[in-house]
Amino acid sequence: MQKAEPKGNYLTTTTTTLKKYGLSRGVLLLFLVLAIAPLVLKNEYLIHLLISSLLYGSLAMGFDFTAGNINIVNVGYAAFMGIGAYATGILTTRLGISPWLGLIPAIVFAGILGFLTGLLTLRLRGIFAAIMTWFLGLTLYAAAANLIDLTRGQLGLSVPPLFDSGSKIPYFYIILVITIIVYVLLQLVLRSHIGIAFNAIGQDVDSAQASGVNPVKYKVINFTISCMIAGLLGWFYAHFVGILTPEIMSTKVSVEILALAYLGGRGSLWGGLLAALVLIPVFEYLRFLMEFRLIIYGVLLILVMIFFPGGIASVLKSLGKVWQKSIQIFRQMREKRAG
Amino acid sequence: MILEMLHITKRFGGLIAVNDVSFSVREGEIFGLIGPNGAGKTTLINVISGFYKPEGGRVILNGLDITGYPPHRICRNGISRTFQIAHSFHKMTVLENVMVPTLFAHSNFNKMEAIKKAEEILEFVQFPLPSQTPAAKLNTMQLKRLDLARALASDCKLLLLDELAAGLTPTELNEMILLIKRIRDKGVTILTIEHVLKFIMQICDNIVVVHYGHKICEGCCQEIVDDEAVQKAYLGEKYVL
Amino acid sequence: MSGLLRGGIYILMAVGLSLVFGVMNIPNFAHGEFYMVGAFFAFFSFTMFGLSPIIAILAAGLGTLILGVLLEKIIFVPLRKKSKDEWVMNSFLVTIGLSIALINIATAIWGSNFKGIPSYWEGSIKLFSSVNISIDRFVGFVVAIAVVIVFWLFLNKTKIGLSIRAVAQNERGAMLVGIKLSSVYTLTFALSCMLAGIAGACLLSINPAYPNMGVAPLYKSWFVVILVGMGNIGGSIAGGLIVGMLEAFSFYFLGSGWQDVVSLSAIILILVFKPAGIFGSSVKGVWGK
Repeated sequence: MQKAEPKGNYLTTTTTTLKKYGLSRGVLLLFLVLAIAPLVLKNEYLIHLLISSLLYGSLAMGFDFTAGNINIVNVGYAAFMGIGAYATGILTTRLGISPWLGLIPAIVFAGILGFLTGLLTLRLRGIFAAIMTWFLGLTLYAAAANLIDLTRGQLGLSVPPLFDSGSKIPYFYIILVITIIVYVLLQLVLRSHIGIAFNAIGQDVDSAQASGVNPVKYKVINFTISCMIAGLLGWFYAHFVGILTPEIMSTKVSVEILALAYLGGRGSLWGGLLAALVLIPVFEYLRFLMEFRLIIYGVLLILVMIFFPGGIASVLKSLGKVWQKSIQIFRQMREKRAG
Repeated sequence: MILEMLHITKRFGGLIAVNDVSFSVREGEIFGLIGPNGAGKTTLINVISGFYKPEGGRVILNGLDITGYPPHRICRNGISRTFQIAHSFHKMTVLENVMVPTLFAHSNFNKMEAIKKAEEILEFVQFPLPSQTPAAKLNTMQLKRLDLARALASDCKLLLLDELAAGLTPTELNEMILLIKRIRDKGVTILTIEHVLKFIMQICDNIVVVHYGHKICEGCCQEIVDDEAVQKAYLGEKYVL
Repeated sequence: MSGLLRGGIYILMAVGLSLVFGVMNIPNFAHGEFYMVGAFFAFFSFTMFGLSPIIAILAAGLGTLILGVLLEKIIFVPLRKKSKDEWVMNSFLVTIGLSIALINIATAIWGSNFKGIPSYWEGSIKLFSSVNISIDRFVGFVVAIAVVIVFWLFLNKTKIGLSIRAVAQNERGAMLVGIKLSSVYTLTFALSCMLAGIAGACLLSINPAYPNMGVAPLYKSWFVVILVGMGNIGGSIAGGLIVGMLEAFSFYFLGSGWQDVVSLSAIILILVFKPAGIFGSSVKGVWGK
C-alpha cells in the first residue's frame, strides 16, 4: 500500500492540474490517440483526412467561442480565416518572407478585422448581428475576388508550403499542436471571469450590464480572439493546401463550420471538434453517395436542431449521467447484497 | 441627498414619457415612486440606471453627475436595480447568477472570494433552494429573490426596485417587506416603484407620484393620500373625496 | 432598364422574406432555394410539358406553394413544439439545414449544369423612341409587378390577408379573436415560397436554372428587407426598386464585381446607424442594448 501511494498522488495531481486547463480525461485521451495516429496509420490519405478534421474542428471551436457564449452567430467566419490565409499568402509570395513568419500577420490582420466586427455588431440583437457578420463576410469575399492585382482572384494564389518534403505527417503534427493550443487557450478564457462575462452577456444583456459587466469590452474581446484563431487556421490552410481562391471565404464554408459547431453542441467547445473528427471521415467514406451525403448533412442539421438542440455534446452528457446513475444503482445493489 | 433628479425629460420619438420631473432621495430612506400604469415610472428607473439617456435634465448621485453613464458604469458607482420581469442568467446556477456582480461590480476577479460573498448574499435574502440549483428551474418568487440577491451583490448604496411586490401572496408580501427593511438597516437607500399600496404604506418614508410623465405630488404617506390630484389620477374625477 | 426588372424581382423576393420573418419570426436562410426550385419547375413546364410561358410561370408558383406547405408542416410544426426559447436562432439554423438539403436534392435530381431557355417569347418591343427591350424582360417585369399588386390586394383587402397581418402584429391577440395560428403559419410560409418561385420562373430566360442559383437572390432579398425594415412589406416595394437601380448603376460604372461591394457596404452602414431600416421596423424590436 505505502509503495503505491506516492505514484497515485502524482497521477492525481497531474490530472487535477490538467483539468484546470480543460483537459479532462476524455479530451486528454483523444489528444493522445491523435498524437500516435500517424505512427499507426501509414496511409497519407487518412492522415490528410485527419488534418482536415482537425482544421475544421478547430475552426468550429473558434466559431463556438462566439456563438455558444455571447450568442452571436458569426456567419462570415470563413472570411476571417480567408483573411489570415491571404495575409500570409500575399506576404510570402510578394515579399518572399518565410511561411513561418507569415503566421504573425495572419493572426494580426484577422484579429483587427475581428475587433472591428465586434464593434460593428454591438448594438444589434441576435439575428441582426448574425446578418451583419454575414454581410461583412460577403464583403470580404467580394473584396478578395475583385482585388485581382493583390490576390489573383479566382485564378488562385500559389502559396509556398511549410515543409519541403512531400509528406503530410509534419503538417499533421502542426495542426495537432494548433488544435491543442486553441482548445486550451479557449478553455482557459472561458473558465476565467471573462468566460462568465461572455455567458452573462449571452444570456441576459440587461442583467449583465446592471451587474457591472461592460458588454462592449467583452463582445469585442470575444470577437477578436475568435477571429485571431480563424486567422491562425487560415495561415495553416494557406501553407498546407498551397493554393488560395476566394471560395474559402464563401458563405458555404462558414455554413460548414457552423454546422459542425452546432451539431457538436453549442457552448461545449469540444463538441465541434468531436463532430469534425467523426463526420468528416464518415462523409469522406460515403463519397460514393455523392450528393446524397450532403443531403443527409442538411437533413441531419434540421433533425438535430429540432430534437437535440444541444448537439452531440448534450447527448453525450445525458448518456454520461445515465452511465453514472447506473453505476450508482449497481453499487447500491452490491452493498445491499453484501449487507 | 444621495440622489437628485433634476428636470428629467425623456422622449421616445414624438411621445414624451417623462416631462420635467424632479425629486430628491435622502440617504438611508425608502423612497416610493408610484403612479398609474404608463405614468413613466419604469422610464425613470431606466434613466437612473443608465438604460435610457434623458433628453433633458441631470441625475446626480452623491454630488456626481451620472447622467448618460452606461448601465455597467452606474453599477460601479453604486446603483443596483431589479427588473419588473425578473430576469436571470438562465443557463447558470443560482450561485453563478449572484457571482456575476460580485466579480464585475468592483472588478474583483478572485473567484474564491466571489463564491463566498455570493453565498453570504443568498443567505441574507434567505434564498430557499441550494445554490447549485439551475436558475431555469425557479418560480416567480424565487426569481425575484434571486434578482434581489444579484442587485445586492454589487455592494450598492442605492437600490432601485421595479415592482417587486407584483404577484406576491400576502405571506410572501410580508416576507418581502421584512427583507426590504433589513436591507435598509444595512445602510442601503431604496427607491421603489410600486402599485401595491400596502407595500408603499408600510415601508416608504417619502413618496413621489407621477402621472402621464409629470410629477403631481410629493411627500409622506398621509400627504399623498389626502392630495386631490393623486385621488383624481387614481380614482378619476368622480371619486375625489 | 434592367435595373427595373431586377427591382421587380427583388420586390417579390423581399416581400416573401419579410412575410416569413414578420409573421413567423423565421429568418429564412433557404429563401433563395425556392427561387431556384421555381426556376426549375418553370424550365420543365416550359420545355418538357410545353406549357405556354405564363402558365409555366404560374405552374412554378403553384409547385413552390405546395412545396412550402409540405415543408412547413414537416419541419416547422415539430420545431415549434420543441423549441420555445431561442426560436429565432433555432429556426435560422434549421433553414440553413434546409438550404443545404434543397441545393443537394436539386443537384441529385437535376444535375448541376445550367438549364436555360433562349427566351419565353421572341422579339422585342420599342418603348420610347430609342429604348428597345426584349419582350421577355418586359413581360417578366409586368408579371412580377402584377403578382406584387395582387398579393398586396390579397394582404390588405381580403379576410385571410387580414388574419395574416393580425398574426404579424400580435399573435396572442390574433388567437383570442379566433384566428387559427397553425393555418396562418402554413399559408404564410407557402405564399413566401410561391413568391420566390415565381421570381425564379420569371427570370428563367435571363438566368438559367442551376442548383446554387439561390445564393445571390438570398442575400439580395436580405438587403432589401434590412434596408426598408423588417416586416415592412409595403416598404419592400420601394426598397426592391432602390436596390435594383443601385445595382444597375454600380454595375454600369464599376463593373459586376464591385457592384456587390457597393450594395453590401450600404447595408452594413445602415445596420450600424439605422438598424430598423430606412422606414423603420414595426416588428418585435431590432435593438439589443
